[in-house]
This record gives sequence, structure tokens and C-alpha cells, in this order.
Amino acid sequence: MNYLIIRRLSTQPKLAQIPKRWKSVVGLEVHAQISSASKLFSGSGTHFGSALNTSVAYFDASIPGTLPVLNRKCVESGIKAALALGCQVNEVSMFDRKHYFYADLPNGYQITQQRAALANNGKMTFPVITPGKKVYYKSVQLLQLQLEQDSGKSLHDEQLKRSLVDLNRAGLPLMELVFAPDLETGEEAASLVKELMLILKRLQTCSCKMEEGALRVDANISIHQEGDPLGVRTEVKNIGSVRSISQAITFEIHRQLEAVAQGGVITNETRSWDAENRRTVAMRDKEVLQDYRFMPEPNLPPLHLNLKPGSKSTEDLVSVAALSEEIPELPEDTRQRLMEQYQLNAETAIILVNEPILLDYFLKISKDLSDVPTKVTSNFLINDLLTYCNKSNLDIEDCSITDSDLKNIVKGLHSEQINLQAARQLIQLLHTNPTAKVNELIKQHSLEQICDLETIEALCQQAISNQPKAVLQYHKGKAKALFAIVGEVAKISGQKANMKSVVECLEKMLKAAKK
Amino acid sequence: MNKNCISASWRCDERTARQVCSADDSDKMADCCKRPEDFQCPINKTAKLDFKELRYATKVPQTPVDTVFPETTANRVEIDAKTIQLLERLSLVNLDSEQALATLNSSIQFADKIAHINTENVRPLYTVLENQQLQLRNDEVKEGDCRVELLRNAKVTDEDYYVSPPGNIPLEQ
Repeated sequence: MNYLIIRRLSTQPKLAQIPKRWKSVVGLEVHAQISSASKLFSGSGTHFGSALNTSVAYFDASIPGTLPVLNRKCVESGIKAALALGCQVNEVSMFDRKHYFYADLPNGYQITQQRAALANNGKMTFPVITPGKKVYYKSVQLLQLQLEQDSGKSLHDEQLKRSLVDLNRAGLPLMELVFAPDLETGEEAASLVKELMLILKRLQTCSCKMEEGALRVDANISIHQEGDPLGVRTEVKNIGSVRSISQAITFEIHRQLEAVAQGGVITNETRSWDAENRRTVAMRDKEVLQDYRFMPEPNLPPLHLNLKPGSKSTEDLVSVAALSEEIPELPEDTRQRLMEQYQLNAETAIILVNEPILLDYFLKISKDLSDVPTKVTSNFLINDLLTYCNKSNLDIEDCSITDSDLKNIVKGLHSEQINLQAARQLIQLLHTNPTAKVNELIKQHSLEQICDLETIEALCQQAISNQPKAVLQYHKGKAKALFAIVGEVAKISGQKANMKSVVECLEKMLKAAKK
Repeated sequence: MNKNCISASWRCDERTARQVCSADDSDKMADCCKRPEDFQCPINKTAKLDFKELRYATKVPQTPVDTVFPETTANRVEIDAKTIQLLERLSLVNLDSEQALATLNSSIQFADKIAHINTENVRPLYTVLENQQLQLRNDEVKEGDCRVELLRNAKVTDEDYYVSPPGNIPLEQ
């Protein structure tokens, strides 16, 4: 992302020749829908996909005379998230009205927290995974965590020039997390969101289903030259998946760099991510700076919390200390535990934790098969199971293989009953036929590993006579030529020979032949 | 008075509404304190408010709180004719009569008390209920499923949607 711009036509060639690096700056705002049965300020339901305009209370439709009553669970969930992200939870927070004139916002304002939010000054540290690069850790400041209402949903009918409004989403509880612009690339942003999703899922405060809009990400992006103040930023909305976060931000950085390189200027605008055409598009909305006319919400007194250590929650006073005891082990703690308890390396721990179901398998198999080295299990899960799912474009959560099947495969691998090739074949067989038993499949498809030394010797003998060229090269000192012979054994044994024994046997035989 | 009733309305503050609008006013306030049910059925104009039951607990004090202010008659504010003219123009209220002038004077007298209270090192107040703990509600589904009633308020609907003029959409479409 670091672009070099060299000014060719300059009156001060010496100074101008010092190339300045372009830097990209990315800040995220995340809206996470708090998992709750009822809405933030009304008693209507929150079920996704309920019939049009049915999960709507009088308050959500802004019927005169109705008043907001705050949902206790939403406050507790907000506090839990704040604690998990190392925030300072505020003893008193307040609600404000933020005015918009949208058809899907019947009140004409959103109740949010602007002046005094639920929590501030958090920090998130997360691993950044960039394909083909080494994993590194990045820290980002969390400026604010606030509670607010969602708006309704509009469907735009282009032909009839009208909008169709469904208020089921109006008033759903959201926590908005405002992160400092501490990021540089799309991958960093995607990794931040991935970690945030892991944390919120652990806390059970958000389903994090981006496809249902339960987690929405807006990205603020700007570019500037090193040493200069930050550039004008654009805001990219409508990012629908973790992968899109990375793509949208990368696209937008490139678009800005290109615009500047062609002598253009970046204007402060809101752009929408078009996933189909993989580009950002300017939105009609917010062409002029909006005045939200913030004002204190007169219908809600301040929200007080009990910050005293050791306190208990009462009917109308939530204790932060009591909630802090409910915080489960967080993803980063799990990674550290995996590294210490199971002697896994950092990369392995990161991959396992990033796929909660894989972690679940790992912990179950490691517990039940305590004599199997954890490395055998983690390697199998990551290099074979996860790779199989990725290759066949399958979400690992949708893979129908059970943990007991996986356990049997790992057991077979460890006892050398089967080899890796057979294990891979078993994954495929089990996915297409989930009711089958591992041991039966091994018999049925004769996947047992050939460990019998005499048979292996015979196979090796055959391979040596099949590959005279490789044997010659090996004798000339080219150690790598051995692989060709090993491959030949694999081929003639139908991928079933115990490769460890084959290598030992071949080395022994070739040495003997040389003499 | 009646305008105040709207914000302190039926959902959690009925009793306060009753205090603010005395029993004699009840006819006048009927309009502003209507329950939503009444908005959906304009024919049913006889519906009366039921003040007996609060749906949720309220933090609004149920009896008036008396506060004693220091006596400020000594530094009486005098208003000159020019100021009165300005006030008349701004407020469109005729202050010609003796009674109107007396009312104005007593209003100023009443408000003037605030100016003599020592507010040094006192944090500005955001609401008079600032020291109360905000009432919390348990996370239960108790409302909703009233689409037919709600859509009856809308001028244009289609299927089960509200219909509105087009909103914010991407430019290139």
C-alpha cells in the first residue's frame, strides 16, 4: 500500500527527489446488534425475518404519547462487551437524540449516546492475518462504546420511484464501537472485525451474522504523505462480509491514490460498497454536511451504574463488578492457553481460535486421546480438514463430519493404522456420507496402511527397478532424488504404504546397493 | 399546561399528568394525552384516560417538592417603557392593561429568585431527575403484532409495507 510518488518536474530537484511515502489511514465504526428478546426501548420482539411490520410496538412506530423504557439486558451486554475490550465503564451515561429525516425513522431522531457514552478508552489487540505474510499483532484504541437504536429498513422501488418501509428493525438494540484511526490496510481492518466477532460471540452479546445485518462495519479511509496531516476521509458503508471489509478498503485506498495521482481531490463523502462489481460508489445521501441537532433525550434520565467492587446488581442499578465475573475466557487468552498447555505455536493457536468449531474439535480430541501428540491433532485439523473445506468452498460449520469421526481418524493416524492420504480420503468420504463409521470405511475402501516390513521391502525393490534414473542420481549424491523413488512406492502401493518405513527401507537398500 | 402532558404521558407518568392538569382540566387534556388506541379509531372520541394503572414504575416524584428561596423583594427589577414596547413586539402580547403589567412584574419577580442562587461549583443540571436511577425493564416480549392497527395510520401502504418517497440510494444506479 506504500506508493512512491516522484515529482519529475520540479524547480527544486534536490528536495523533490526525496520520495515521500503515501500512507493510508483507516478507522472503523462497528454497529453490533445486541442479542436480546425485546427491543432497546420497547417490548416488541427482535426475531430476524418475522413477518413485515409485526415486531413493532406503538413506541417503535412513534405513536404520540409513548415513552422509551430501557432494556436491562442491553445495558448488561453493553457493559460486558466494554469490559472485555478493556474499556472504562462510566458511572453515569446519558442518552441523546440525533436527528435524521428518513422514512424508516418514524420519530425523526435516533436515541443514541453522544455526550456521555456507556464506556470509553478501550483497547483491542489482535493478530493480523495476511495471505502469504507472517502473522503480526496490532493494537487499536476503542474510543467509545455506546448504546443506540437501529432504524427501520427501506426497500427502494426504482421503477415506481418510492420506498417500501418495514419497521421490524426500528428500535433494535445496537452497540456502536468507535475505533481510533490506527489501522493502515484492509487486512488489518478485516482482522480487527474478525477478532471483535470472536469476542462478542464468546460473550453471547451479538450473533455477529453479517449476512443478517447483525454486525455492520463502516470504514473511514484517508491517505496522506508521511509527515503531513491526515487527508480528507471518505466513509464506506454497506460492507456485508469480513472478506468485503478487506476488499472495500483496499479498493478505496487505491481509488484515492489514483485520484490524487491524476491531480484530483478527495472530497468528504459517503460511498457504498458494491460487492458484485467490487467497487465503491458515491451515495446521494450526505452530499452536504448534516446537522444532527443533537439534544439530550428528555424522556430518559441518566443511566447510573454501580462501579463499587464486590457490589451486587439490584432492581434498577446494574453492578459492573458482578458482570465482570461473568466474562468468559477471551480469544487471546485461549491462544495463550493453547500455546502453554498444548505446546502449539502461535500460528496454529491463531488458526484454531479463529475457527471456533475447529477449536472445539481440537479440545475434545486432545482430552479423549491424551497419548496422541497435540501436534498430530492440530496438523490434521488445520492441514487436512480445514484445507479440504476451503478447497471445496465449504464453511467448516457446514461440514457434516462429527467430532467422534475425527477422533477415530486421528486415532488411526497416531497408531499408524492409516496414513495421511487415507485420512484425507476419509474426510471426503465422511462428508458425503455422514452416517458411515470410520472403521467400516477403512475396511470397505481398504485404506489400512501397509506397515509389514517384508511387503514394504518388496515395494521398494520394485520402485528401485522402476526408477533407475533416480537411483543413479541418488548415488551421484543428489539426495533429493530419493523423493522420486518414494513417490514411486506411494504410486505402486496405492498411496497406502507407511512412508516413514519406506524412506528408512529405501535408504538402507540404496546404501547396500552402493557398496 | 396541556403541552406538558404530552411528554409526561400515559406510558409511565399518568399520575404526574393528573397532577399537572387538575381534574377540572381533564376535558381539555383529553386530546393531548390520548392513548394510541384512540389515535387508530378517530370515531371513538368518548374514550377516557385510565390514570389508575402505571404500566412501568416512574421516577417522577408523586408529591410536589417545596423549595424555599431567599427573599429578593429588596432588589426589585424595574422595567422601563422602552423594554415593555420591545417585549410587546417580541411576544405579541398586549401589556397595556394594569393587570397585564402586574402579571409581567410578578413573573419577573418569580423568575428573579433564580438569579440570586449561588451556583458556583455546581455542575449544570441535565434533568431534574438526574440523581434518580433510570428505570430498567426486563428483557421480555410484551408488545407488537399490531400491524393492522399501525398501518391504518399510514396514508399509502402496499402489501404490508409503509410506502414513502424514495430515500438515500447510491448515485450510479
